[in-house]
Amino acid sequence: MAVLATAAARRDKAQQQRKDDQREAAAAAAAAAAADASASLSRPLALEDQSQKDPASAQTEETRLVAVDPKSAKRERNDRLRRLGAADFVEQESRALQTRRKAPEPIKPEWHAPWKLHKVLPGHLGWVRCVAVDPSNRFFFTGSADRTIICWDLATGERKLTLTAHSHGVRGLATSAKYPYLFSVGEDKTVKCWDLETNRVVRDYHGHLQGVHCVAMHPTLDVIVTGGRDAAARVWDIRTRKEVHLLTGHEDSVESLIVQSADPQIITGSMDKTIKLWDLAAGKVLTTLTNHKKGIRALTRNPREFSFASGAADCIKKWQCKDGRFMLNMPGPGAIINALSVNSSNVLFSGAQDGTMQFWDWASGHCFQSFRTTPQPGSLDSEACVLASAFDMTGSRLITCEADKSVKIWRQDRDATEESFPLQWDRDAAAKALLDNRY
Amino acid sequence: MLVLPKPKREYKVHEEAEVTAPVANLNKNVPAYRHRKGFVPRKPEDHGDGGAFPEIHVAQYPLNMGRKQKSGAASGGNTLALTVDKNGNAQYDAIVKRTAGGTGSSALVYSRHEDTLQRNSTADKNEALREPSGEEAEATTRKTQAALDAIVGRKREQARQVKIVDNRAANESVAKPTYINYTPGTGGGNGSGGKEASNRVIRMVEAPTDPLELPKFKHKKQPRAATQDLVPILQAPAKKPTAQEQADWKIPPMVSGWKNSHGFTISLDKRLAADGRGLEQTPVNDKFAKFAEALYIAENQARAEVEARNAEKQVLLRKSKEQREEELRELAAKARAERDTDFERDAPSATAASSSSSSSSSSSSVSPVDSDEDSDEDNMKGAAAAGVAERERIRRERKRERERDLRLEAAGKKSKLSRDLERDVSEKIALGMAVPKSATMTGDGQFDSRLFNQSGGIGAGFGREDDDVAYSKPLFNRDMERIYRPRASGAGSKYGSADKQLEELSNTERFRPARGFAGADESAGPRRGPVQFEKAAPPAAESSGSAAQDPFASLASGEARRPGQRLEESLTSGRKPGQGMMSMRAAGGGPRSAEELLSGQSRRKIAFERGSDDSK
Repeated sequence: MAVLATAAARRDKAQQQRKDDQREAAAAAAAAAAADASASLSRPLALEDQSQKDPASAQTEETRLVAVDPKSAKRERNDRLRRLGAADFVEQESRALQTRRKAPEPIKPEWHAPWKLHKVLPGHLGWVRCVAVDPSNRFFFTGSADRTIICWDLATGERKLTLTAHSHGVRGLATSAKYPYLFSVGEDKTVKCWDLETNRVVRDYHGHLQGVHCVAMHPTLDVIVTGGRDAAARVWDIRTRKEVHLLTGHEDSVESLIVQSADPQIITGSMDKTIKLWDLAAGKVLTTLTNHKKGIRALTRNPREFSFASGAADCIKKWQCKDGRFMLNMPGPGAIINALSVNSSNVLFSGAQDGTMQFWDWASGHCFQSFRTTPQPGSLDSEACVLASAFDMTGSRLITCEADKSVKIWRQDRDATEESFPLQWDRDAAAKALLDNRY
Repeated sequence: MLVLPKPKREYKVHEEAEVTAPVANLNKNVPAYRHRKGFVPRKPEDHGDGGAFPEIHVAQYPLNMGRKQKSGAASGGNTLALTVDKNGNAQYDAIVKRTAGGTGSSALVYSRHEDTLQRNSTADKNEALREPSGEEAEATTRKTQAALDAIVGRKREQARQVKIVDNRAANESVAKPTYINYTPGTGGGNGSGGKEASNRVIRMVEAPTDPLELPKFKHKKQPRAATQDLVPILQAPAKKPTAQEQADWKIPPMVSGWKNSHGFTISLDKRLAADGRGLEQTPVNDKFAKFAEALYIAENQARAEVEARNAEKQVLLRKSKEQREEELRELAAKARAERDTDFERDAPSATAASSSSSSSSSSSSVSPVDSDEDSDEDNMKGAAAAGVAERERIRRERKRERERDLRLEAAGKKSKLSRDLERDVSEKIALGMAVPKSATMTGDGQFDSRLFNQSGGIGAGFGREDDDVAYSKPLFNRDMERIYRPRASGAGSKYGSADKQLEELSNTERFRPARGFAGADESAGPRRGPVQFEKAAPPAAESSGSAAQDPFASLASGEARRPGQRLEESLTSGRKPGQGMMSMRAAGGGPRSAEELLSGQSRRKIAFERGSDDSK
């Protein structure tokens, strides 16, 4: 690296000398000079005593003098550019930086109809911890702390099937578009593969050392990814039941997962407050995102945009999927966020531990509806708590799993119009928040 | 002993850096001894794990001993070149970029200030947010599929090989047991045979294992792998807690009201804080105060109303009473007038009747009363009529008395007769005697227990026979009385005679009232009995007049009569002599004797009585 940098510096120097000779061609060469200057100037960063440096290291004394410290390097460079007649470039650049800092134009949120309760499906005997909608959109599954998985008819809300094989609470469910399989994981450390044609467990994926908390299926490959309390995410080959990868690096339990077909193919959110983007082929970490201050219990990916959101007790954050660049802070309800879901019409739903349900516009991060869920009659007020959520395949219905042992289906209010439910958005406040809310 | 001066300089001994390099393998191309001309050992391999070559005269560092540690990026050590970006800013995140994800990885590290800014404005719409196209996704999938397949294939192959090896091993072990020729040592000669056990052949076979047996060992949690990636934490700085938040987190230490095993001294305020007594403030709704005030006002108002109503009622009552009295008075006046006329009209017939009939004892007894002022003939007539009226009146009186008794009895009060009848005057109860413990005298209670456990019966310890004592000892312990009184030890005692002192005390001036009653004669000497009050006598003329006009003076004046006092009593002074005597007797006696009553002062009242009789 240092060798390369030094070479670049040499070339730079040579170029400078040449251009000093041909000053008339300064304007034409300004762009090239800027491009070259962006190649890093370098000097050795002496972590040890510099006098003990190996003479074999190819570092000219001259280069070292050019860049004594970064500030003087900058000054030097600017002087040089000015000499080259590229002063306007510097000014432009600094102006661009200033304008970027000063006036970010917030995105205006689009209007969404408010959501309201459509159905309450009682039937579970414990907290309902997870939900998965079948790709056919005709039924969905919920897993509960009462160790059962229940299959519900999405249209009528009837209970179609109850699956019992777990010895502890069921924590995660995943359905497959390719196979008639349902994958379930539970606190009994097991990952089970159900054949929905016979309603039996046909495979077990053995290897988790502690309870498994989340599961996701790869959309194009025949692998599933599970994450659990043993702070590891595991990639399983569905057919052979082999553990393909053991993704270690988290320091606390992995609570949420996104698996997608494009890189990064696996995104994990953990209770150690970090999100990790993984390279599935190599089984390595691509990026670690450390902006959250509390454990991340929910992750969701936008089906239309290459971005994802993460929810923790401090806030909800939006990220670019590709490189994990931080995009937006959405101030949460001040409670632990257990559930996040996005539909294809850019509505982000967040469900919190205290039962707060918030609906956001994905693009702008504007919360257009916020209310507390109502616990079903006969349950305590403290049992108003959203534990999991999912939109159906069309995105028109929202299924929430709650601590009052019920599953609730929410629908958009069809009668609402922009007049009856106006968008309450303050542009200036949004711009200020965009500027002020960092991290 | 020679004492050396303190050294003027201090010397620092240079310490060699610790040798960390591993033992190198021996370079195979090192020429043999005596053929080393031109050979210069530079690497540790040239030395192997041996020392320097003494015949080669160059600096040698076997096992890297004495060699200076290399530095700089090129050497692969911990040194990094400081790079600057296009703005000339130093890229200090070079270190984290290098450590994150291992060397040469494509790991992205966000460590700049720009990475903490939000990028969600309209200007930030970029290409990175575009959903990857189908071809890209397919390429990724293909690449990943290949990588995963390789891994899975390798794993499967490994598993298969392990299985094959296992099977072969199992077959071999079953097929080929090993035989061991075993000769025990000479020391262990406590076997049964001794000589026979000198040499043995042992057949070693692997013990068969149940393939279905559950694993004997549990999985244990793996130790956490070393954190490869040190990434900068891009968290917002912690908010400074407000004073309120800090106060909210102040939790008083637990202080038990029951246990204090270490015996700490706990101050009272700490106890109270732990108790939580003062922490809870009960908010009282101010409507309670309003309610109480309203109640108070309402009560006062109601009381005032009731008072006014009562006053009104009393006024009405008094008026009605006055009216009734007026009526009565009118009636009485009418009756009197009637009687007067009757008297005058009946006078001749009355005299005839009296002359024809012999005078009765009653009439004769009464006659002297009437014959004070009237003429003789009037007297005769009047006496006969009066005798009849008198008897009639007594009869009525008796009847009324009986009725009254009946009424009283019905009301629950005892009549005089029954009261006297029911009064217990038997001698069953001896007053002032100790009550025996058990009402039913059973067993020992019948006997004088003092006679028990005495050897000689009543003759022993009960006093002499001629002693006139009923009891051997007093029934009650009188010692208690003596405690509270000074001993009567006589004049020779220190404090003088007790009785005398008591007398002195009771006669001191202190026990005289400081102020006497007004009009009481202090000179009359000490009082010898209860104070007697005398009613101040009203002027005679006025009283007689008022009595004549208003016999119910007590009613009219609003004075409350005693409940037991009856109308007759208040009219006593206006009775006929005989009648008055009787009523006086019934009322328990008055101060005046019959002679006084017989005086002629009450003539007109006799007339009134008769009139009232007639009216009834």
